[in-house]
Amino acid sequence: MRTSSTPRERTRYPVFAICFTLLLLVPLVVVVATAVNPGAYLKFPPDGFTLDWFTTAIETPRFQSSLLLSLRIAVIASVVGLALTIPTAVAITRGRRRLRPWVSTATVLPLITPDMLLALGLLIMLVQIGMASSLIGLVLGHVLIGMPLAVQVLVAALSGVDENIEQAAQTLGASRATAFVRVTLPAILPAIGSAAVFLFIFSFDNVSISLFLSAPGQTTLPITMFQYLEYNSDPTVSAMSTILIVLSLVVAVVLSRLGGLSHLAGSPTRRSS
Amino acid sequence: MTFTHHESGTDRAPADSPSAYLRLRAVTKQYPTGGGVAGVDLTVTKGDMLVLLGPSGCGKTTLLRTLAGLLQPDSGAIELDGEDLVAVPTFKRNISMVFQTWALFPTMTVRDNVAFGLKMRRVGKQERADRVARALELVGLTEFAGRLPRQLSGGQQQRVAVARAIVVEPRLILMDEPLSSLDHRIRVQLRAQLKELQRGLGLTGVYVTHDHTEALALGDRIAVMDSGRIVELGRPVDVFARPTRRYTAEFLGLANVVDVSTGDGGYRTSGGSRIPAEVTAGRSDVVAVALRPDCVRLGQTDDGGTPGVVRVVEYQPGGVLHDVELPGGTRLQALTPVGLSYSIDTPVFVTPEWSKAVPLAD
Repeated sequence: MRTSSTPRERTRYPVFAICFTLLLLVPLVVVVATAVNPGAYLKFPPDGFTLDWFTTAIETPRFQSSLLLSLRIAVIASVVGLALTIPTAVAITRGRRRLRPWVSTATVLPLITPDMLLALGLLIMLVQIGMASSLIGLVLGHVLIGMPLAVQVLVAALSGVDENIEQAAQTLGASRATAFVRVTLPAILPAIGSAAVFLFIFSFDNVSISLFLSAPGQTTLPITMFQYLEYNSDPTVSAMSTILIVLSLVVAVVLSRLGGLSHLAGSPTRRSS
Repeated sequence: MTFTHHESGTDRAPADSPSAYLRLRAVTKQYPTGGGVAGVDLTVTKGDMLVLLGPSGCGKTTLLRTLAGLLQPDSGAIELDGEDLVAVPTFKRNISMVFQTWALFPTMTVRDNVAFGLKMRRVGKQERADRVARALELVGLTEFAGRLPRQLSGGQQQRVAVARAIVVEPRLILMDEPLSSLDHRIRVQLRAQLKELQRGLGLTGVYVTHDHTEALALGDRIAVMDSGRIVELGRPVDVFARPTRRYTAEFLGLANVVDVSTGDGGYRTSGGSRIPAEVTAGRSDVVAVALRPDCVRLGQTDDGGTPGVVRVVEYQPGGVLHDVELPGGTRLQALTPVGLSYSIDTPVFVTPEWSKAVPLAD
């Protein structure tokens, strides 16, 4: 006779997890639903179905330029961010043990400080060195916001890499730099991918820093959408948001494929030497 | 145990002979937190395997890493084949190392792992493929060439590490406890393969271990280390059968170490037994003697032996090991043939054959 325990256990659904996921999804569902409302106002549930607002959203020049600007800044912030966070993570994992917790804490500070304070501080600083209202300032601010998570992801990945592999490469004839590039970097490539994605996302949907540091005529997409909503209430913004939601979903899938989120959960056990 | 293959070792080069291939002079590397090595002098003849044997923290790995160039010595000279190594960076030394963790490159296949050193040396594609194939064949991993390290068992990974180290034809091969994380059975198997490979290829090597059976099996010479110094150096058979230092005898744990002191006309144990003069042979620095357990006789009839009580009995491949408590609380180990063992708490008479004792200095 077969035991009934196995099939019974398979039918147990994680009720809590499902409820929680639904709760998280509700705002998104509302946004998507309002985007297809035929009338020129935000309404949930929608009265009908139309995709016209998507065309409008894409064709609105303000949205177009803001989207391009946001994408550009996010890409630059990712690249600059990686250039800063990879060496930082290496320093944290391979550097002096006594300094590690301090450096580590310092890199997390931007995460726990209110964004407004960061933005204000940056603004004052940039004004004094004459770089306010420049794209550089905005990029720096965005990098700062994304850095804590990116560093944590990279640190977790690096501590999972056997330090000996770099030394093994050296004994086999690779210089220190070559050893790092040929052996260590490939080993943390998935984490570099997720760090880049985090940097991108944190830049792309940032409001507070952009609010302070955007130059006139250089508004990023979230700010443009916010400003649009102040004077209009048609579903164009919802349509734009829906596009962003779809894009984010794609990114989320990529991220989970890279194992990026699991990097945050803790480092894999390392063999002691 | 037999040591027949070491018989030729008697005419082996003395410590400072010109035939030394690797020569260390007063190598010192200290850490601010303590540990490291101090004033190590060593020579290794070409084609020999030197085993650095000692407990963890004795500096043997530090010494090995200094040879590899992964650590810079504070002072001292390292010469390989007449060339001073200290100023040469690791990647130009042509010294391979097999790590305790094997340190295989996780993103590369077995083939690429083994090919890495050849790529770094800009060996042509065809020759590279040939040499990799030959190395993998040597370690018996030809059919695993396309796998990633994590798809292999521990023993297989270890063999990849060895293949990767030997494929570049290094001037010296360093091994840092490469077998310590394997199961006993595989360890013994790979140990034999390693020895065969090293001899077959004529490799000169330095092997670090804390396991004395490994040292016996692999070493042409053994250096016993304690707190950053080499306390004893010699052929395995000498170091094991006739250690000269108390530390060595205690670390190897193969024999009873009994403290002795000078009394009237010779050395005596604390129990009053006299050590025959021919054992100490006129030496004045003897602080203890080593006596193998099979040189201690046990009996149940009073034949002039010391009375004692069996406290622990342990079955071993060579017989039964008894831990006997003597009056005053000292313990002595005695090995008897399997049929002639005693059970725990049996009163026995102990007769050590002091004439077979080995004198030990401090």
